[in-house]
Amino acid sequence: MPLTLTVALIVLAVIVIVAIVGYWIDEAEEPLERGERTTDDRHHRV
Amino acid sequence: MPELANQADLAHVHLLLNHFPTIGTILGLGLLLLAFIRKNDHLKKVSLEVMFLIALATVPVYVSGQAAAEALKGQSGVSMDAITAHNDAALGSFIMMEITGFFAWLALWRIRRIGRPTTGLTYTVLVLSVLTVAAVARAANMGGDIRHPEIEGGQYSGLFGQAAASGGFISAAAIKDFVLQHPWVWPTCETLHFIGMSLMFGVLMIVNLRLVGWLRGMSFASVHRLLPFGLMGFGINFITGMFFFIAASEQYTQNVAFHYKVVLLMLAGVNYLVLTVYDEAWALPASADAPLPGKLLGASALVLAVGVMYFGRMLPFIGNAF
Repeated sequence: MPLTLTVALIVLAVIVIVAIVGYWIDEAEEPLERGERTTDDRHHRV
Repeated sequence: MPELANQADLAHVHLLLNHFPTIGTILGLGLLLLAFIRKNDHLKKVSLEVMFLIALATVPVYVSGQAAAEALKGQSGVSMDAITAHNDAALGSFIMMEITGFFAWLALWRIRRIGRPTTGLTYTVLVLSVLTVAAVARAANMGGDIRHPEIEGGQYSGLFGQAAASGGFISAAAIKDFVLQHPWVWPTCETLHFIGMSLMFGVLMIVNLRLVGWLRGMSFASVHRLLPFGLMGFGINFITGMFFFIAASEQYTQNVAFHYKVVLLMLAGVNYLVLTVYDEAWALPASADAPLPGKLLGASALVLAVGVMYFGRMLPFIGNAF
């Protein structure tokens, strides 16, 4: 496999992994305060 | 460019700092256990902060260890096998320490956002801390076997393994061979290093410009949620940077630009921790101005980040790399 393609594929894979982990961390976030906030509307609150 | 230290100085730095990971992780673990016993959330937070700071302090310990090894090379009474075994054990414990530090930071970030420690993350840090204490104690014991004839043959020497024994689950020499013998590894790491740097600096720009006084349309809490992406950028740079360092350590240990980079990196790490747990900034709503300490924190973070990138870029020009 050409060097450029190897590098590009690995870099792409790392970017996808970072995006998945970042999304998982962000999704796992709980409401900032106790109360009525739900998973669905928490993104609009901060 | 004034030199910070020569190789002998770095060996001395290693002797001064090498106790920090062992004592620090034991202290952090002890505080965490005490926090569980007392059911004290504040103490949990303190122990997580200690763990993060020790993970940070372990970076110059490992780096200066390479310089110490180079300074000792060829000297009589020094076993290269003992140095190699210690180096491999230290690398394994270093990796464990940084993983623990990452989860400690993540736990602190969650505490800042939800106001209390989360059980899963806190127990993860507890388990990782126990494993890290064992790993750093083993590495430290092997380090003591390099040049301490007064303790050779002692009854405790077999407790964590002899210095001549296998270094453990990871080998610095194997990593060096992997990086140097595969032509795709170095350019891949270089590319990822720039992507990680962009990710980290992008997050630092948004968060700290908000503190300094720009981007006032957003509350600090809304930019605070970006911090894990910044740390992931740092994680990419840390892993790729370690590949570079292990593959060509002499280019870095004797490079004044690298010395400045590591010092600024330590300060930037402390700054990042403060940014994560900073109470006054957390309460900052949209359109409000940060207090003076917050502005100084944000400005210093940007200056430190630019400094780290500057000295990284200047490795071949100010120093002697490549």
